[in-house]
Amino acid sequence: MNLMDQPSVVLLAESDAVIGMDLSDALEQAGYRVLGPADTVPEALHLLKQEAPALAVLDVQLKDGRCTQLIRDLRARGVPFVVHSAARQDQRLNGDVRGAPWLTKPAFSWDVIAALDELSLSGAAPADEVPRTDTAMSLRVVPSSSATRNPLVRKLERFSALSATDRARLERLSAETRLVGPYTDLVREGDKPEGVFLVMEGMACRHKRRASGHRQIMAYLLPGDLCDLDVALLDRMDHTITTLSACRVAHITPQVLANLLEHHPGIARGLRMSTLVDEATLREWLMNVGGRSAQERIAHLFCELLVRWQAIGLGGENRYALPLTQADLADTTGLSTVHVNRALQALRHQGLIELKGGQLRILNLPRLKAIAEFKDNYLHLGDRAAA
Amino acid sequence: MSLRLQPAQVATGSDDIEGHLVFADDFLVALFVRLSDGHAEDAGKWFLERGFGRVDHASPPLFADLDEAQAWIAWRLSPQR
Repeated sequence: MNLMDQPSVVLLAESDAVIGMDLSDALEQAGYRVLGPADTVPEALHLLKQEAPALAVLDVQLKDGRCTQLIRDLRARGVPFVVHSAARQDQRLNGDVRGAPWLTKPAFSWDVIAALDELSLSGAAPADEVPRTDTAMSLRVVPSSSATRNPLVRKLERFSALSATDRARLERLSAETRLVGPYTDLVREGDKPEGVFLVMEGMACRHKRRASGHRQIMAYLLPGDLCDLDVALLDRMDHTITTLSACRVAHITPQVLANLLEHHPGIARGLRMSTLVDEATLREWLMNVGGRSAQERIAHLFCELLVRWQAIGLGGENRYALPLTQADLADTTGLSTVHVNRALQALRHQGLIELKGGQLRILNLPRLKAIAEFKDNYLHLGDRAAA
Repeated sequence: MSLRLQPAQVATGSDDIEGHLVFADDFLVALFVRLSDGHAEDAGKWFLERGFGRVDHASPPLFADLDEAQAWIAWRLSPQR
């Protein structure tokens, strides 16, 4: 949202006054200008005519009935909209809201903002077309149900018991993101670290380069991952952090982070646990590079990524977004691109994986795990019980 | 120093099987393998499967033909380098 000079104007049509106010506040905080909330159809139509909003968030059922006319007028004017409704999702299939992003009410404000951001970034795409999904550009195009939640919250909840206040704090912290294109350095080796970056969508990596240009990738940052909790203690960065795909990234200042650690023990525990897991993952990657064959390294990495995507609720049963090139995989596993290509082909020929359109599907997980001797203990996903 | 090539089939576990051993003054210094069609735009290029001693390299380039590959080896082995 902060990529734009002028705030986008959003029409908010919402039957519930409290939800309307909350959402309105959240949208304003995220940099939108809000019209409404309007709780009746005539009021919403009036605002639409008078103020010409760029986007809209609608509850399909307003106080005085279904907003059929409003949807028709929005479409006529080419105003893309997000549906935020308590109605069953399957009703959208035969209704006039077909193709519009759908969020089950009450959705997290973070999700509504993310959906609006997507709409505004996709330009004046007509709302009656399903938005084009370019997997490299948007891993999570539209959160489609209330089950989709903030990946940072999801991740930390695995490590620590979070209070409602903790959750709200994390949501606010991660609400203000900026879109960063692929292969963009977030912070470079030698830079003075100023706070930490939090990846909310897409994939980034830590890496170092030799004078020859040879790159070694030391970690992947997935949604909910943040780089270096205590980095402010260092004078200079000793490695570079770069996006691998398009990412949504939030920045957290050292002051905000210090405040979190001091006043939110639940969050502090979660963040410290996640630092330990980052270190454990690095040890496992070292094991990979030093102690596994080409095929075993790739198999291990693929098993790890499945667990990590699933842990933040963004992986399917046996599939996930893999917006990486063979060169990225090569630099991660200490292999040449030739060896990566051979390993991928061998895994394909054995019927273990399928790579298509930036998505990896694991066809035989037990076998892939056996090849890699993969044990997910180092990811410590069940450790919250010890809290 | 003179370089000599000796054809060899290589069991890479892939379709890349056509190879050449490279000898420098009768010492084995490298093994090149020709990339098969499974490597898309790199198919047909020569890959340094293994380099020994000074020919060992963390990220070796691909070579369009064996002349280019030999020139690179000669450079790696040259005393001035």
